Amino acid sequence: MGMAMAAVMGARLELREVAVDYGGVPAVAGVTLAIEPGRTLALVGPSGSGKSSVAQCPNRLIDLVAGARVRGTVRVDGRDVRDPGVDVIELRRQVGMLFQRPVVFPTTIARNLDLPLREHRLGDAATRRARAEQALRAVGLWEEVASRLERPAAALSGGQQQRLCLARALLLEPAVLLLDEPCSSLDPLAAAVVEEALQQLRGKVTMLLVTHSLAQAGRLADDVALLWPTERGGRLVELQPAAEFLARPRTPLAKAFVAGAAAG
Amino acid sequence: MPSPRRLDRALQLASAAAAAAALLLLLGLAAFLLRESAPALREVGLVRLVGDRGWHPTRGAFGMAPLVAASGAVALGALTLALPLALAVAFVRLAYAPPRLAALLRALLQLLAAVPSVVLGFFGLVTVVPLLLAIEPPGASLLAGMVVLALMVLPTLALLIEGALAGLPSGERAAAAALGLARTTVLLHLALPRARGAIGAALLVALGRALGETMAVVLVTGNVVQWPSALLAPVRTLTANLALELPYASGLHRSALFVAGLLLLGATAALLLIASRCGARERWRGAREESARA
Amino acid sequence: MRELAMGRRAMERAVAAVAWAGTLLVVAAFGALLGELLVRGAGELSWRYLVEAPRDAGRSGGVGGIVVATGVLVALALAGAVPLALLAALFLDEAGAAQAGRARRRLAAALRRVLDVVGSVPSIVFGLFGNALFCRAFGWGESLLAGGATLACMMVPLLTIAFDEALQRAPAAERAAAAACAFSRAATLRHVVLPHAWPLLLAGAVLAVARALAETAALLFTSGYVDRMPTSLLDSARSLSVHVWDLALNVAGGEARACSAALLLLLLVVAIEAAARGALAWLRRRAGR
Ligand SMILES: Nc1ncnc2c1ncn2[C@@H]1O[C@H](COP(=O)(O)OP(=O)(O)OP(=O)(O)O)[C@@H](O)[C@H]1O
Ligand SMILES: [Mg+2]
Repeated sequence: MGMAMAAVMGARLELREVAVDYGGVPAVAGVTLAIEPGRTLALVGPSGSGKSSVAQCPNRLIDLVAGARVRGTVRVDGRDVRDPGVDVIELRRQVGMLFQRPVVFPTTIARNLDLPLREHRLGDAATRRARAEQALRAVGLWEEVASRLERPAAALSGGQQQRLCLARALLLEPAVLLLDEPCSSLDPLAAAVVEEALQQLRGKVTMLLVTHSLAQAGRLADDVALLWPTERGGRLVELQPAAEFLARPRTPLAKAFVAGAAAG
Repeated sequence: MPSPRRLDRALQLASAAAAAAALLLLLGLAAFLLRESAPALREVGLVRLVGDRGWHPTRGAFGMAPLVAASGAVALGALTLALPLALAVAFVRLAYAPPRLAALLRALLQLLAAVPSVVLGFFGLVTVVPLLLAIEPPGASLLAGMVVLALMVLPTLALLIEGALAGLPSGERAAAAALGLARTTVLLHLALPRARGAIGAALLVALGRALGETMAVVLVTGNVVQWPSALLAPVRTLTANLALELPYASGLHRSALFVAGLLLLGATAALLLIASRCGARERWRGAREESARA
Repeated sequence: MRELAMGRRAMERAVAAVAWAGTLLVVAAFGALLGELLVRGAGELSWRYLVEAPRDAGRSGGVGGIVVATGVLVALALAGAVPLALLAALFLDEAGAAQAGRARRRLAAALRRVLDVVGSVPSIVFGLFGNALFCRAFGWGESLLAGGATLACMMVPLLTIAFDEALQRAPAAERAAAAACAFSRAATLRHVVLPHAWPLLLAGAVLAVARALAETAALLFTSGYVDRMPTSLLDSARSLSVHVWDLALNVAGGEARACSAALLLLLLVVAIEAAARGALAWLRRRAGR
């Protein structure tokens, strides 16, 4: 079994009336959308429209934020993630995440990849090494780091770190990947390399991609959803196939957003 | 090897239990002191514990008032001596000393803060007491206690005061610099008024420490039970009395000593709570800056 | 106008002069303390002093059994307090970071306050408590065990506060990344929190050792005065600090030997503190690079 990923086609991700507030201050107001297995949805919108808040709901990472409250339902493969019977650790194995800034663990490159595998008892040392290599190859990092696996991960460049993080997320063979502006802290070249790695994953895993770049949305996503901030939190104002959204936005806000992006 | 979830659960239970135990520590402290002091409170009563003529427990006189007064006098005197010195050190470190010297001073303060109080008391016994003896016998006196306690609280007080003074918002600092104000002016007229609350809180904390100190005091105050009437007269504080008498006390005498312990517990806890109420934010900010620079 | 400026300048000079004078006084006092102990106490310090048993109530001989008793007391205190404080700090950490229930967060706030209060309780009051609880209620008598347990109670608040601060050093982003990798809490602690926290955890423990070494009042009524070499945890034995106090106050002609013991104690405590702070600063500088 190659990168076992090939077998998994991703899970269906469904948000219904998802609302988020932080200590009573609304951030997201009732967002409803669905991503079919293996498809990629780009979530765009102005700063503060609640994109990150939405992206942290499927793996319940938002539970780590003191004061955050979520309403509505999020389903992964039909199962409500906030069901009391759901094991958060199992859920997060199934739903991987990549952040805006790469976050490596304070240890070596090799251990960054080995830790999640060991934690989840995925194979003996040799198997784990092989899987780590596969994951590094999948993100195009193997050639660059093969000779310094025992060096601190923090010594890698930003783009390399972000790809390491992607490899680390892929190791657990997630059915859904949450990507919160994965390229926006990187220089254009590094961003292109990470984007290429994501491109390779299309169709193999369900992706929710938060991005500020409509061009990137056009290249990576099947559909685009536009969030817009209001007093009662971010609202979904338009959801269309990516090509349609870019060429023929329907709502005034979407038109303004696309025009603004084209001008900027 | 246990599964991660089992381990997490065990960790959660164990940490909750430890937290409960730590909470119980205060309850246990209060409960045991109360239990042991109950006989004295019942049979002697508060009125006599305060109003009896003097402290002669073997002869049935349990008046703790002179001990309390001595404790208060030594502690307040120590703060009076320590406050100006602490301010001086804080000013020098913040405004006058070159960075190297300032760092050295800080290290010195930290070391001074680490000196065991029994060593400080012993130092007082062999230097301060003879000095005072030259002025007026017996030397071991209220004043000696004040001096030694002042030395004890000074380092912490200076570091806390410095933290409070350094808490001036950087915008204000920049504005002051733009106006060409001298550092002394900034400290005296901008930082000091703003830091008053925090300095008050620091003083309360120091007062608590001074009131509760035993070793530094018992070695230098002469330990004669009497009202503190003159700086150079010997006195005995509540804490010194405990150190001297508990090893042999029994019955009501022992119980009355626990009343003194209860009193000390209540006084220091109250001081700390007042301090954290009236200067909590400043104290917190000061402490954060302290640890950031440490 | 000009006169005013002159007046202000003079005022500034005066403030600076007073501040320097005060600082010099403090430095001089510290110098006197060190100098006095060094001049009068250093002569006696030798290996023989460290290992020989005290004779004639400590007027001659060394501090053999006393050093051992001191070490045992500190070790007992650490063994009791460190695990408890670490777990309590983990409780605070968990209640602060996670979407913990309101009850748990309230409990954490209460615990922080209580730790503040207990941390400020005078050590002689702990001595009373230890005497009533460990010596009498538990029937341990005046013993190393009772003294160590009392010290442990004193150290719990200090250690918990220090450990709590240490655990907070782990960046929230890395905790989030660990969660996103589906790490259990135990794994997050081990692989993410510990690598950031261990220098401060260690420093907290070492500073607590210095505090325990310096402690006297809490031991007076719990571990007792006996100056022989202890042979069991239920033996009464005296710590170095109690030795200083006893020589200074109760033994006529004990002053010279008290000097040596005080110097030894001071050197131990100061060396431990300085080592801890130095190591911490070094680690930080290394991490900063
Ligand atoms: N931890 C938090 N505590 C309080 N408020 C928060 C928190 N995180 C986000 N918010 C608020 O919620 C709203 C939505 O924030 P969010 O980060 O989801 O927006 P975003 O669309 O991702 O913005 P950006 O494009 O800048 O990343 C904002 O108003 C923000 O201030
Ligand atoms: Mg965001």
